[in-house]
Amino acid sequence: MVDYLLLTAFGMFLFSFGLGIFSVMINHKLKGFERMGDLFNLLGMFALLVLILHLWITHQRPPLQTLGETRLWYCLLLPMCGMVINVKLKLSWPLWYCQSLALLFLTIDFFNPAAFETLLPPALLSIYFIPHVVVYIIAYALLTVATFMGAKNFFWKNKMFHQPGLNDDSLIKSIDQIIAMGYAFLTMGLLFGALWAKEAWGHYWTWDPKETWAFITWMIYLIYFHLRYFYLKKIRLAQFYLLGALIMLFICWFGVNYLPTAGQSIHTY
Amino acid sequence: MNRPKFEKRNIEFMNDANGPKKELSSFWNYPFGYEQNLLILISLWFVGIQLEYLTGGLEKNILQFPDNLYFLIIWHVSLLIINFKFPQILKTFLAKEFIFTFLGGWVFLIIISGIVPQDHGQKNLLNQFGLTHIVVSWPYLFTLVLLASSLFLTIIKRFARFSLRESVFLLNHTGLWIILVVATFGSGDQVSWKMNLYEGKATWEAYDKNSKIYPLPFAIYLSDFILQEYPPELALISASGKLLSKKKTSGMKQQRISLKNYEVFFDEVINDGVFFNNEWKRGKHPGNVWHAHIQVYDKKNQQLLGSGDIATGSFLQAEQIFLLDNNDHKMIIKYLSPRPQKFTSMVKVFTPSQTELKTSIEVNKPFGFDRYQIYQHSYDQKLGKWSQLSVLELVYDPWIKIVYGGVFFLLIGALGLAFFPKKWGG
Repeated sequence: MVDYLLLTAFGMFLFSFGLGIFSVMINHKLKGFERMGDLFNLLGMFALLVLILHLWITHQRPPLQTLGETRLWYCLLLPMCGMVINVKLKLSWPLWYCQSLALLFLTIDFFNPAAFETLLPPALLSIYFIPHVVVYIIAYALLTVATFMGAKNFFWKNKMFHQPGLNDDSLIKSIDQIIAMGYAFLTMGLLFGALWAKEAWGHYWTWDPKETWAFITWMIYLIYFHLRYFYLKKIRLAQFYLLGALIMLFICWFGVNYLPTAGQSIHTY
Repeated sequence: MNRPKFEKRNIEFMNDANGPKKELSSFWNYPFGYEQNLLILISLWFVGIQLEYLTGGLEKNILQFPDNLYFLIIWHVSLLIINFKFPQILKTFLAKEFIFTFLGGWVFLIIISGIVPQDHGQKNLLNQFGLTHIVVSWPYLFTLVLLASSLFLTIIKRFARFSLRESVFLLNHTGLWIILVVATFGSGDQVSWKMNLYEGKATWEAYDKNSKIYPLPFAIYLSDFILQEYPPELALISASGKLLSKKKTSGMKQQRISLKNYEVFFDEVINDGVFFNNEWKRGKHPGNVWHAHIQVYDKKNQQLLGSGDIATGSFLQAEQIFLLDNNDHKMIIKYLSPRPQKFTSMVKVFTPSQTELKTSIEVNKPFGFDRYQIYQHSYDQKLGKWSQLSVLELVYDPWIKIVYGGVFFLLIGALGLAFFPKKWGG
């Protein structure tokens, strides 16, 4: 029951503002284009919001259950993070990365409409459900943005899209701040999950494969803080580490389904 | 920062020409670097694997009250002694080389448990070495104990110079320490029993996973077990049995559903059908099923391809499928088995002192009585909504409040980290 018209519409929106921003990236000095990029961005987000509400109403449940639906929220929140960074830090390129990734995930959704069709088992009908998933997706979006900021600096330092007036130190400070926020949401997601599990199954922790990987992801970012604390000057190491951490995060999000342990999981969707 | 130290030590080690004895002593000089820590970790794992092989795992040797409490006290008193009397060992525990080695080792073990299916029941080499039950294995326990020791010593050190700025640090570390230590060493005291209730009967006992029976100080009487199910999903299946598409149904007639290139129209839908005398009838009998009469159209030209009955199956009736034959494209349209939406046990709880309590227990809505939290666990899956059996789970965990305290600390700490960022490396 996915509305293909809407899917196509927001796909086009995103593509167009992606292109708009790209042209801004090529030429910083054309201010008018930047505004246009923002406008397209807002339009794309609005279209996504409409789709999410549409799913909410037609399915008569919050669209937060299937992988396809979590991807939708991710695509909505990621450009939002990019815009906040654009306004707060006067950095426009993270927005471009965010949109490219959003575009990629929307394309995946577009070709997998079946990812929206599932019935909620009784254990998922809980008040913890929405906060648990929402905080996780916010965490994923923030951590992804920070990783991209690091990766861009790691691979294309001073070559492409160079933004004057920003040195390594202030960039890594911004990255650390975003990671800290993402980590806070990650912690909340993990702990809400544990409280919910206690409510639904009687045990707050059962080492379900998804739980195990959520814990691994959490630990990986915990190590990042220690890395930043003990090796403050090793900025390139930190940026590289974040890339590896993001891979772990993606394994936790959907890679788990392809691991030999997947069959044991109650988090199958 | 660390590298020059490293190289210097290596050079000393390499150039030492005074025989193996001195080489060894210079290698084990404080403070330990990454090589020494890694060697300790790997030796511990090696010993752990041997213990695993010899003892057949930790699960049989898990500590229970009051032994676990004694262990925790002895462990932490020894740490306090180290803290005040052995500054060299303390330094080793607090060094970044130790922290990264053991954090990394710990995560490595958990990653293995995230890849190798965890099932203690297997009888193979992986199981003998503890790989199928990492989190209850000796190597894991050793790693965790050393890491938690470091965590505890770090907390003490920071507490000594307490200030408001340190509170975020302390909340995070203390929260994690509480959860790790209490959840791990309190797990032996967790009680998790099942209770089989039958409609119209009272039950006084529960059983554990080894089927050992325990009498209870109260009885539970099952008045009614109610299972609500979703309308069944509609599926399109190829001749070779491959699921091509499935869609939710509303359970109402006049609905149109598209499955790939076909459109299905529901003429008639009933949720309590019985096939009797070559006819579908309604009736409130156990074993009655979902039935629908459908028309199947080609989506492109709206041509009617056929019509017929579909029905879910039960212990009483075979399921009915619709065979679609469209220009040599043989396919099946059928209802999938209905999935449960909600299941509830309506119960009465009795105690010998004549108290009687009426309540309902369902998934996500446990009921607290005596020292137990009582959960709706399962039912007779074969009978589905006609199940006379309801299985409840009784859980008791004396340490839970302390773990929740740790959770609370960690939550506040995480928020503090996000909203009061302090200078890194401070």
